[in-house]
This record gives sequence, structure tokens and C-alpha cells, in this order.
Amino acid sequence: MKQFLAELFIWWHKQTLSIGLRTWLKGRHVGTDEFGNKYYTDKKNKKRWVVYDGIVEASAIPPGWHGWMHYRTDILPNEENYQPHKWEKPHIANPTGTRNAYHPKGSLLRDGKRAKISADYEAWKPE
Amino acid sequence: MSVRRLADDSVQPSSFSFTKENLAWAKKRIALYPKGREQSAIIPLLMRAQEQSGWVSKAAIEKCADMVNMPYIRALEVATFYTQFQLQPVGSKAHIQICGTTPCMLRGAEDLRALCQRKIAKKAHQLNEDGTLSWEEVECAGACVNAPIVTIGKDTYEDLTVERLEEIIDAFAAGKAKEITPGPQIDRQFSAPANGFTSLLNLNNISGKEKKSPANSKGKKTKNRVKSVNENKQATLFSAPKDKKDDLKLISGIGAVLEKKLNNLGITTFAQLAALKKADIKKIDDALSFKGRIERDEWIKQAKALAKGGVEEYIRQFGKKPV
Amino acid sequence: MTQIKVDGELIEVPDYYTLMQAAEAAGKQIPRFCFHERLSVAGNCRMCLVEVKGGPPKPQASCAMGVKDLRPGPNGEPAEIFTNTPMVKKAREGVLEFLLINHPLDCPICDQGGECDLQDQAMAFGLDSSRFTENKRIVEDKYLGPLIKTIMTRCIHCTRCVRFTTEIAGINELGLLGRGEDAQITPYIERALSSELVGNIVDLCPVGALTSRPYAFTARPWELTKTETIDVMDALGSAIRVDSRGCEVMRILPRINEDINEEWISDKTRYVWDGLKRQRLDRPYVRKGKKLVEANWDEALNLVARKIKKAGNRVGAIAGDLAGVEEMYALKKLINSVGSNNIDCRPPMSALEANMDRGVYIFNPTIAGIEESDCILIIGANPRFEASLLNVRIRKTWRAKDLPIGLVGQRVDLTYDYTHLGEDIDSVKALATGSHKFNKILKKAKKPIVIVGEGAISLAKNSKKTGRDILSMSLMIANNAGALREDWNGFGLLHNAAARVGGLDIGFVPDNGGASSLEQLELAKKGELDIIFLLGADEYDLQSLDKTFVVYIGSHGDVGAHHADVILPAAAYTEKSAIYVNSEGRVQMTKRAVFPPGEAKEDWAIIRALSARIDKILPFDNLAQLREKLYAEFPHLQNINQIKAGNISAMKKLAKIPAKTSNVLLRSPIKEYYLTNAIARASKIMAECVKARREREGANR
Repeated sequence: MKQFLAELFIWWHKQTLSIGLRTWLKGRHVGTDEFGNKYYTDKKNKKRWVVYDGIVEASAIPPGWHGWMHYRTDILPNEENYQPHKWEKPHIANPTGTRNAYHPKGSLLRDGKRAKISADYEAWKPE
Repeated sequence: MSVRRLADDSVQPSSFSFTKENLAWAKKRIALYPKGREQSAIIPLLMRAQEQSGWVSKAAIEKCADMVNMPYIRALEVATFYTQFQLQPVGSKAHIQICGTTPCMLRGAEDLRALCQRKIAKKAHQLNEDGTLSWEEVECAGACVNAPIVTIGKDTYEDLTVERLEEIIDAFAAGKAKEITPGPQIDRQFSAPANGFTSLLNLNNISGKEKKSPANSKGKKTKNRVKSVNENKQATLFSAPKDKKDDLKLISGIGAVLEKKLNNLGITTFAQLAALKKADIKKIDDALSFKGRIERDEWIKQAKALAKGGVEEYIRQFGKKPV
Repeated sequence: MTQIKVDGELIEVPDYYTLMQAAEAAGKQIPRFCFHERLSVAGNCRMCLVEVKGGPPKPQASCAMGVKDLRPGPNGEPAEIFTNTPMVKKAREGVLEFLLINHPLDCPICDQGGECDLQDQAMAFGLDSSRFTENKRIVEDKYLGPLIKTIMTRCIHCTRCVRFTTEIAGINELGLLGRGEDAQITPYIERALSSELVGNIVDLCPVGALTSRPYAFTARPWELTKTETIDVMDALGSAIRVDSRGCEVMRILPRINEDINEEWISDKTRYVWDGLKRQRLDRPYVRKGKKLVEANWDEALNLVARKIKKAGNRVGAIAGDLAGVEEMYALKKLINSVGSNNIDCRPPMSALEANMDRGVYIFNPTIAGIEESDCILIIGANPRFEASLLNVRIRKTWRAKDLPIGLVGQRVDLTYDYTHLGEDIDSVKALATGSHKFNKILKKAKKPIVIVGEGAISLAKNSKKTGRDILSMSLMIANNAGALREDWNGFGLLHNAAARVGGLDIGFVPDNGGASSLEQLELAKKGELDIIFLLGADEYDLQSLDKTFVVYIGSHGDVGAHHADVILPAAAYTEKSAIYVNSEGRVQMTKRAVFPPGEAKEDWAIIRALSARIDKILPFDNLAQLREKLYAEFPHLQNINQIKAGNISAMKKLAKIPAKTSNVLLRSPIKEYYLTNAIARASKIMAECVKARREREGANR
């Protein structure tokens, strides 16, 4: 029920009614990533779309699927044998607006001292 | 196209001083300039220092600068500006400067350069193993007719071939520099035509038709001195009558120079000219290289007229005054 | 005066003018790279080319061609030059094209961007695209010292730096070696240049080949706020422009002031700005027990007020080298209000007294007046390091004409030839009595100048009498040489500190039984002085003052702060508007460029606040009112840039030859040029300069 209401009234949660209809009519499910986003293409392999598992946020797509989504490659990530390097970190969506957003040191929203700039003077200290 | 800098400290001598004669010459040289302008003597002093040591060291620059009361940096500016100053050590026996400009290049200067690279050092200004030789490529040395040439010291060695240059280099390295005569290294009179004269052929001893044996012995070459026309010992072809001398210049086509030449051959009167036969004409033609001018300009006809009746006869025959 | 037509406009100019000066008289701007008004003409950049009518088919270098060398027209018409014809335009485009052939594409990383002559002229006169497809040449960077960053690939060989260092700075160390594409500006030996004016070649270089090393990569000129103010590193008050960004002083550049510094400033003036960011006193400190502890203003001021009230009139004040007239005036009023006269701004053992005429303690001939002089005698001073721009002026005059210069004192290199007349007082006496060889030269001079260094009249080791003797004898020498006349006052006292003349003008000297600075310190040591105020006074020996309550009012934590019991943080010279009177007696005013850091306040405000707490409120509440009161008492201080002249007869009265003099060597009091005041000692750049100087002099031996 919740999902239906969400599909009817808002567009930022998973899918809307029309996307659902289109997916059911024309969509062919080609893969799912580690976050649960489902990827579809149409019968003629001309269009590609994603139905997110959660908030509709473009940066939630991991890099492999990002390349496929933007028509950069035709190889599906679940069909290629890309071995990630050991220094590659797991993908995170853009944290702006969330609690994990980046603030520089010394900002009100974070602790730490501000980075030094040239205008900082060195106060005299008695010793 | 290179940055001119002082040589590395490891090859710089710690001090420099002029020899006694050079010092006396230097003092006289400085005295030539008005008081307060002694700095103008820096270039001659640096050149003399170079002639003394072969190259201009930092100590030499500083010494010359001190002698003319000039800050060292100014003297260094002069020394780096002119490429004639060798700023690094040169070969003790010879520093070979190969002209590489167009005429020499066309005549094989690049081969000479390759020879020096093989024989002396790979790069210019580098010393050979013994430290006795070095080479560099310079701009036009001013003897283009005798290309290709090299300059060693104050002398140029011209009309070189690769073999000849090698001989010269060996001679210098062996200390036998005096045995090589500067100038053209083939049988050639300075910048006279290499294949023989094409003009002035009948002038005594300058004729290219007199073949001399080409110099092929090592180091020996006979010198061919130019003899001037006045010294020729050939007998005159004709015998001039005494006491009578006509003004041969009246004949159109004979000027003062030709008149003199004719006189030298023994022709001094119109009557002689008038009496010339075909064979005589040919003799004169050959001797003076006229190529038929005598007939062309109708000397005989003019001479006959002048011999017969002087200037009036001439005017009557030719309708104009003789010049 | 000759007539010449410039772009069709007929003007009259003196015939010794160059074409460039004539064009500028007609209002036409001619671009140039190598020409500079204060340097000799080089004529090697070829940017100033103009077309001369009827002249050769090639354009003429207007910086070198004289108006009188132009031929008049066939019927006697005046010569004509053009600065805007197609030939001139083509010439300029061509010159710029050639310059840009080997110029690296460094604009984004070059410090000169935004204020670069090459950029500006290429925009105004150059082509839009390059035709050059070959490789550019590069040049190695040379080391010229810790102050100058050299990127010699950018050099366009205008030789301004060579001409400046040779002619104006007097050092023969830079030269242009090689020629053509391989020409390079090089020092003879790669080490720090030995002049105290080398920073000026950074200004002169039209491109970014010579830039300021401490300022490198920190700012662009368009983001800086420029404030015109006065320098206080020496007593000359050179005109400077302080460039600041926000609350930070980024750099200091000279302003043109023909009377004092022309277009140059010394290295200390130029590079002391990083001392403004180090060792700053930014909050009040109070000594509790043995240690200084941070406090707030209330606490500190209340403590001082209590101590003053208890001390009665056993208070003293010493003004330091960088104190402005306003704060000295306020402090004087404060000290007087508690009934004390112990105030002093002079160096220890100074021969200058309270009621001396102004003419005795100012540099009467003025710096610009040096150019009129025909003989200079220097007694006990090293003008090169005590007043660098004055030395520049002496050198300029020495180059321009035959100027005999005599020096009594330590034999030093002043960048010009002088006769060394002796090292001690006996030589001064000989000159005064007329028995020295140099007297003949002095007598012949029509406008002689006698320069006496401040060090000569305040020889700290001896008694005041020695200083007084030298002062009197110098005045006698000046008088005998004809330097004390109504139309020419040639006697000049050369001070070493910016605060001196201002303090003397407002009477910040002990009279009516007051104690001088040394005497105050003596009393303090003995415990007979209860409070002593140090207004930025760091040049004194402040050991063993534990019996006295020391209040330090200053901007930097130097010697004074270490020995203080209460520190009241004040503003440095770029952070306040204050009057400074230079050695010539010229009144000048600084302007505030940035605000003092932290809790620091302006000095006069601190004193005014203190006066409120001891219930002896000073009669002003803001700077304008203070100045009103100041001008009422000392009206000459309101005439900015003017000099109130000294009184000749008063000066003559002090001229005498003492009967007995104790012999002593005359030495300049400056031991290290780069570290003469608190701000300079706090500066890292100055420390590097000292290091470079020591290396250079070590290598020389």
C-alpha cells in the first residue's frame, strides 16, 4: 500500500506508476547491483533505465553500471570479469545533505582547527 | 648557437701573468688611450692573453680587467660577447678552426669536419687525448675562392682535401708546423683560377698554358711567383725604327695602355702598322690576346692613312678626326 | 627651445630633449621596455621606435635620438615625428613578436601577471597570434640572494637591472653575457647581491624574470588593497605603498617622492612585512609571580592604574624607535600629569638637549638639496646603512658632478669614492680648527654639507660631553665652511630612528630635572623609580629591572616584552595613522592599511584609557581631538610634507671648539643593518638576509 501511494504521488522513491507500467510492458531486466538497483533495457536494446531501491539519486549507481547506463559500454557489468584493484573503495552515493557530508576542518559543523593561512599571525608567547 | 661561459673550474689556472714583452706591450697599448678611457684597451689585452696562453682563462680576464681598472663582470661581458675569445683550453699544438659557411660547405668542409671529429675529438672545443689538438667550426674566414679552408693560429690553409688536412694535422701534432706553408695547399697562385688562366694568357709566366707538375710530394711545393709584365725577358717581335715615334693613340681602338703594349712589342710608328702582314697581325693578336681586334677596328687602314698624309688624310678618308 | 612637430602638433621643447620626452610633452605615450627615466639610455629594446619624417626608411629609437639631431625640412620647417603611423604600428608589432618568440608561456604561474609591462604592451600594441613554430630557448636560473626569485627564461634583456645595480646601487655584479639569443643576465659570482637596494630590481624588471621571492605565488595585484603610507624602518620616511589583502600585508612597494626616495626603497623597508605577522603582541599580559599570564584589558589597565597611583611622581617613560608623535604626546601628557618629567626619546648619552633649536637636530640641507651641494663631509655616520636612500642621493650627485666627499669614522664601502679623513675625534678637532687638509676643499665649496651621524653625538660608553663636543665642533666646521647661511643651511644631523625628530619636536626630552633614558634605567635598577613605561623601546639594556614595575606598550614581543610586568599590545606602523617627522624635519603621516591583530589597540588609545583609570583624563577622546591639541601646541606638525626651517643664528651660537676632548673612535651604532628594530628582528626574511650576508662575506675572506 505504501509503495502504491508512493508511486502515485511522489517521484523520488523507487518508481512512479508510469515507470512501473513501462517496465512491465517493455522492460527486460538485465541485472541488479549490490545496492539493489535494478537495470532494465527495452526489447530492442535501445533504451536503458534503472529502478532504484530507495531514494532516486543518480549517484547511487556504482561505476560499472554507470558506464552501462550512460551508453559508454555495451558489456553488462555482471557479464564482464573486471577485477577491482585493492585500493578501490566501495561506492557511496553523493553524501551532500546527509550526515556524512564533507565540511572542512574548523567549520561549524565539524570540529578541528581551521587550516593555517598566510594571514595568520604568530602571537608572541612568553617563555 | 651556444651559451658562452667560462670553462669549468677544474681546468682554470689559478693565476695568469703576461710575459715581460707582453706586459710592456700591454702598458704601451693602454697608454694609447686618453686618461680615464683605459677600459677601451680590454679587447687588445684579452687577445694578447689568448695569443700567449692559447685561450682566455678566468684569471686572464681578471688580470686584464685589473690592468684597465674595469670591474670583472664588464670584462667578462666583453669576453663572452666575441666568439674570437676561446674560453676553454685549446690544443697545445694546434686549434683548428674549420670554416663551415656556404662556399666551404659546397667544397667539402663537412668532410673536413668529420675528419676532425674522427681524428681529434668528437665535439668541438674538446681536446684530443694528448691535449695537443682541438677544433671548432667557425664562420666565414674570408677566402671563399680557395674553399675549403681552415685557420690555425693566424694562418689559413686553403684548397684542402681530407688527406691534405690530415697531413697538416699530423704535422702540427708532431711539432713540424713550420714545414707546412700557409695559403693554398695545391699548385695555385693564391686566389687565381684553379684550372688555369682564362684571361691574361699571353702575359709572360702567368699563362695557365704552362703546365707545372702538381705538388704531390709530402710537404714540398714549388712556389710560382707572379712575374709582372714589365719584367718579361722575351725578345720584342718587331724592331722599332729609331728616332721616330708616332702617337699610336690616334688610331681609333688604341689607347694609352695598348700603345704601350705595342711599343713593347716594337711597334712605334704608323708605317710599321701599315706594313703589317697577315702573319704579323696574327703574332700581335696572339701576344696581346686581341682575338681579331686588329681587323675589326681596321687598324691597318687607319695606320695607312695616317702614315700617308697624317691627320688631314685621315679626315679625308674616314670623315672624322682621329681620336 | 626648439620646435618639433609630433603627430602634426607643433610644440616647443628644449633642444636637449629626446624624441621620447618631446612626444610625452605633446601628450603621446610611447611604449618602452628598456628605457627608464632614472637610468642611462640603453636603446636595446626597440619598442620606442617612432617615424621621423624625411628620415631614413627605418624608424628611430626615440629614447636615444635627440631633438637637436633631427634635420629640419627642405625649407627650414621644423622636424616632424609620428607615433601613430602604420610604420610605427608595424614596428611595435614586430618588436613584440620578436620578444614573444623566446618568452615562455608562464603567465598563469608568473607573479608579474596583472602588472606586467609585456602583457600590457602586447595587448595594446601586439599581434593576436604567433607565427613561431620552432622550439624556444631556455635559460638557467641564477641565484641572486634570498630576496630575488629569478626565472631567467622570461628575461627580455632590457638590462634595466644591470644599469640599476651599476649606476644607482653602485655594485658591479650583474652583467649581460653572450649575445643574441644566448644572452643571459648573470652575476659574476652566483651569490647574494651585496647591495641594500637590490629589491628595487624586482620593480624595474618589466617581465617576471626578477620577482620578489618572499612574495612568490601569494597574491595577484588586482586583489590587493593599496594604501599609501610612510616607512619607519629608518629616519627618512620613504614613501611606500602597502599592498594588503584582508588583514594581511602582502607586500610593500615604493611610491614616487622626488624629495626623499625618488622611486626606490631599501631592502629592509621592502621586506620587513613578514615581521608584522610574527612575534605579535595580541593580548595584554600580566606578570603573576614569575610568569607572564594572559589577561584582559580591564585587568591589565587596572593593575597599571593602581601602580601609578601608588608611585606618585616616581614614574618614567622611554619612547622607542618606532613611536609616532601622537602616542608620544599622549604619554608625555600622562607622565606630566602625575608630576614627573622623566621622559626621553633620544638614544643614550645623546648630546641633544631640550631647548636646542630645531636646526641643530634636523638634516637641514634636505635630501633633495644634496644634489645642489659641491662638497660633503660625513662625521661618524655610515649613510649606506643608516639612511640608504640618502646614500643613493649622494651617489647620484657624485656621479653627476665632481663631488669631493670626506668621511671621518670607520672606513666602509659607501659605493662612491671618498677621502678617509680619520677615525676619531682628533680628526674632527683638526677639521674644526682648520688644520686638516680637507679644510681647503671645504673652503672652496659654495654649498658644503656637513653630515653628523646620530651615533657620533651619542657615544654611549663615554659621557655626554664627548657627544656634545662633537656636535659643537661639527657646527664649527659647518660655520667655517660657510654652510650656515640664510640661503644655504648645510648642517645635517642624520638620525637612525623614525621617532627621534618627532619626539624632539614635541619635547619628549627630560627637562626641569627629569631623568634621561639611561638615568631612568639606573634609578630603576636602584629601586628609586617605581614605574617605567616603555613605548616600544627595545634598544636598551633592560636587565635587572626587577625592582621596578615595567609597562611595555608595543606591537612586538622583543626585549621589552620579556622584561615587562604588564604588556599592553599596541599597533605597528602599518596599523595606525600616526605622524612621523623624518630626519629632514619633514612632517609625514602614515595611513592605516590593516587592523592590529587580536586585542591590540592603538597606542594613544591605550594611554588615554590609562589616564581615565588614574582619574587624570587626557583632554581628547578621539584621534582628531588629539591632533587638534597637538597642533595647538606645535603648529608646524599640521603642515604635512613641509619642513619648518632651523634658525641659523641659534645654530651658530652652539658652534665652538672645546678645550679638551677625550679621544674616542667614531663608529656607526648599527651593528647589523637587517636587524635594527623589533619588527625587523621578528622577520624571517631579514634573518635570511643576514645569513646570506655572512656567507658572502665569509666567502670573500
